[in-house]
Amino acid sequence: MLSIDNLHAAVDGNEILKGLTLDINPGEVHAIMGPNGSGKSTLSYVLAGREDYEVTDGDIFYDRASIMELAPDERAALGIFLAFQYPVEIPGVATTTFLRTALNALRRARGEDEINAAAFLKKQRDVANKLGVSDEMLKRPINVGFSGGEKKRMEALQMALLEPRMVIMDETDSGLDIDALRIVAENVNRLRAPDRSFLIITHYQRLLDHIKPDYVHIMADGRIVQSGGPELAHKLEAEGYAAFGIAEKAAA
Amino acid sequence: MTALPSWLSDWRIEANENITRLGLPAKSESWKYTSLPAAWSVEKLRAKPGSGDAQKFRSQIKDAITLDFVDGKYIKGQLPKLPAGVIIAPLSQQLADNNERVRQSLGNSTPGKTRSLISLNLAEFTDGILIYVPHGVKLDQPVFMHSFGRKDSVNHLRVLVHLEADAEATLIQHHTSAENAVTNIVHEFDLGARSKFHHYRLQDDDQTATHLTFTETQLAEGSELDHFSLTLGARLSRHEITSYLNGEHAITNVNAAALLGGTQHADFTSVINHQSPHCLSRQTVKNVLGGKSRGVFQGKIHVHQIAQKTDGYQMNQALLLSPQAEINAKPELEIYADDVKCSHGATVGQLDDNAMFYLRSRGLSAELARALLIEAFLMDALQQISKEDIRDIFVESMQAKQSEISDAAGRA
Repeated sequence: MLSIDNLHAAVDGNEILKGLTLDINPGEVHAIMGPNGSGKSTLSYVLAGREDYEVTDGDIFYDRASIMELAPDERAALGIFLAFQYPVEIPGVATTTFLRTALNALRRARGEDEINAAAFLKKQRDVANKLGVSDEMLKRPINVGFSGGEKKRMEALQMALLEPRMVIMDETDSGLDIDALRIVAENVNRLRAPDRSFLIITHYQRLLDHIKPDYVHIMADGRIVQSGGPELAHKLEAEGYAAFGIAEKAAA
Repeated sequence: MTALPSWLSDWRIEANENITRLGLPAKSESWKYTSLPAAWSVEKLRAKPGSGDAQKFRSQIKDAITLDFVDGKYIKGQLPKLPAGVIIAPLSQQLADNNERVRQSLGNSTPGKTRSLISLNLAEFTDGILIYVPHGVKLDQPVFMHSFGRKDSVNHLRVLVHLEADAEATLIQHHTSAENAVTNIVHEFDLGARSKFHHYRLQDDDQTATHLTFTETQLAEGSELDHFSLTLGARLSRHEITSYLNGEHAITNVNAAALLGGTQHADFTSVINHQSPHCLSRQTVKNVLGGKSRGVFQGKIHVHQIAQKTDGYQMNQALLLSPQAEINAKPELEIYADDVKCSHGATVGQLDDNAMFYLRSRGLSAELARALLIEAFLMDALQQISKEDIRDIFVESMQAKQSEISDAAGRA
C-alpha cells in the first residue's frame, strides 16, 4: 500500500531523513519508535506532503504510484490521513462546517456525490458519540480552546469520519491522559480493516499496549535501524534506546 | 424635472462657490493615502446619465421596503403602507412637494463649506431617500436601497434619515454600478434620544468604477448607530464617516470590511467625536488585500474635554494575500478628558501556513482552504450584522468576490 524507498528529506538545508525505507501492506499496523530528533515528525509531514520539507532523494509510492509530486489535498483524496501531533487552531471556522467541507471535498475528488446535510449530521453524530465529542465542541471553531485531549479526540473523529486507507499518527499519545488514550486507541482498533493500514509514530511504548502493532521499527538519525515484531517495543520499554545503540538526547 | 425649491437653488449657488474656492481634494492629512485621478476636474464630476441597459433589480429580502435608483434617479420601488407619520420616499418627490423636512435635514449639513465633494453633491443631487420616523415608532421592515449607475454615469445621491426619540429603523444599501461609473453619495443621519439606526452598505460596483461616500451622524442622548460597510467593488473608493456623540450614553458602532484584488484602492476614514460623557464607540475594520490592491484605514477618536467616562475602541486588521498588496493604517487618538478608556490596535498578517497545510491535509484544495480562511477572517466582521437574512446577502456577495480573486490568483 505504502512504500517508502530510500527517502532523504531536508528542512532549511538540514538533512533530517537520511535514507529511510519502509513497506506497509494493506491491513497492517506499523509502529515507528524513536527518540526526539530522530526525524519521526518530519517523516509524517513528508508523507502528508507539507511543502516546506524538501525531498532530496528517494521516493514514496502509494498503490505502486509515486505520490512525490502530489499536493497534500491530492494525497488526502487518495486516502492518506495524518493525525497531527499538534492539531492547528483555526478561529472563525466552525468545526462542523470544516468537517463537512472536508468530507465533500474528498468525495468530489473521488468522483462521488456530495453528502447532504441530514446524512452528514447523522454520520457526524454517530462518530462523535463513540469518541465522547459533544455537540458544543463541534460548533466551536476548529480546535480553538480545546484541551490537548480534546484536540486528539477531534483528530480521531476526523479519522473516523473521512475513512482514509492509510493513517499516519504522529505522537498521538503525547499530552493524553489514560482515559483519552484509551478512547483514541479504541477508535483505531475499531477502524482496523483488511484494506486500511496504520503507521503509528511514537516515542513511548504505552500507546502500543492499547493498539497491537504487526511490526515495530526503531528509528534513529533519519533512518530505520531495526525492524521486528511487538517484542521490539517491549525490549525498548525495558532496556531503553541504549539497548539499540542509540544515544538519547538529554532533552528527551 | 420639476423646478427646485427656491431655497435649494440658493444653496446650490453657494455650493458652487465653495467648489470653485476649494477645488477637488488635494493631498492633505485627511487625503494622505488616497487621491483622485490627476486628470479629473469638477466638470467631469457633474451629474451625468450613463449608457447601456439598466440592471433588473430584485429584492432579496422578504417584505422589504425597496427603492431602486438608476443613474442617480429613483425609478421604481415597493412602498407599502407605513405606520402613521412615517415617511420613506424618494427625495425627488419630497423636493417636488417642497417638504420642509428635507430643508431641515439638509440644513444639518455644514461640512460642505470645507469639503468640495459634499458641496458638489449638494449642487448636483436630484434624488435620494428621505426616511423620517416619528417618536416611538420601530420600523420592522428594513428599507432596501439599490443603486445602479450605468456605464460612464456620474451619480450624486443624498440620503437623509431623521429618527425621533425612541424610534428605530434599518437601511440597507446595495451598489452595483457599471464600468467607469462614478458615485458620490452623502448620508446625513439625525438620531433622536434613545433611537436606534442600523445602516448596512454593500458596495459591489464594477472594478473600474469610483465610489465616494460621506456619512455624518448626529447622535442624541442614548441613541445608537449600528453601521457596517462591506467594500468589494470599485477601482477607487473612499468612505469618510463621522459621528458626533452629542448626548450622554450615545453609542456608535462603525464597522467595515473590504475584500480587494487587482489594482483596487479602498479608503475608510472615520472620525468619532466624543463630545458628551458616558458615550461608547466601537470600530472593527478588516481588509483582505490580494493582487496589487491597497487598503487605507484612517481612524480618529476625538475625545472632547467634557466627554468624561468615554469608552472608545478601534481595531484594524489586514490580511495580505500577495506581496504587492498594501495596507496603510493610521489610528489617531486625540484626548482632552482625563477619565476615559480608549484603545486601538492594528495587525497585518498573511494566511497562516500551518492552517493551510492542516486544511489541505484534510482534502481541501488550496483555493478552498484559502477561501475558508479568508471567510473566517471576514466573518468576524460580518457577524456585526445581527439580522440573518441581511447578513446572508453580504456573505453571498463576499463569497462571489472571493472566488473571483482566487480565479485571478490561479491564472497569475
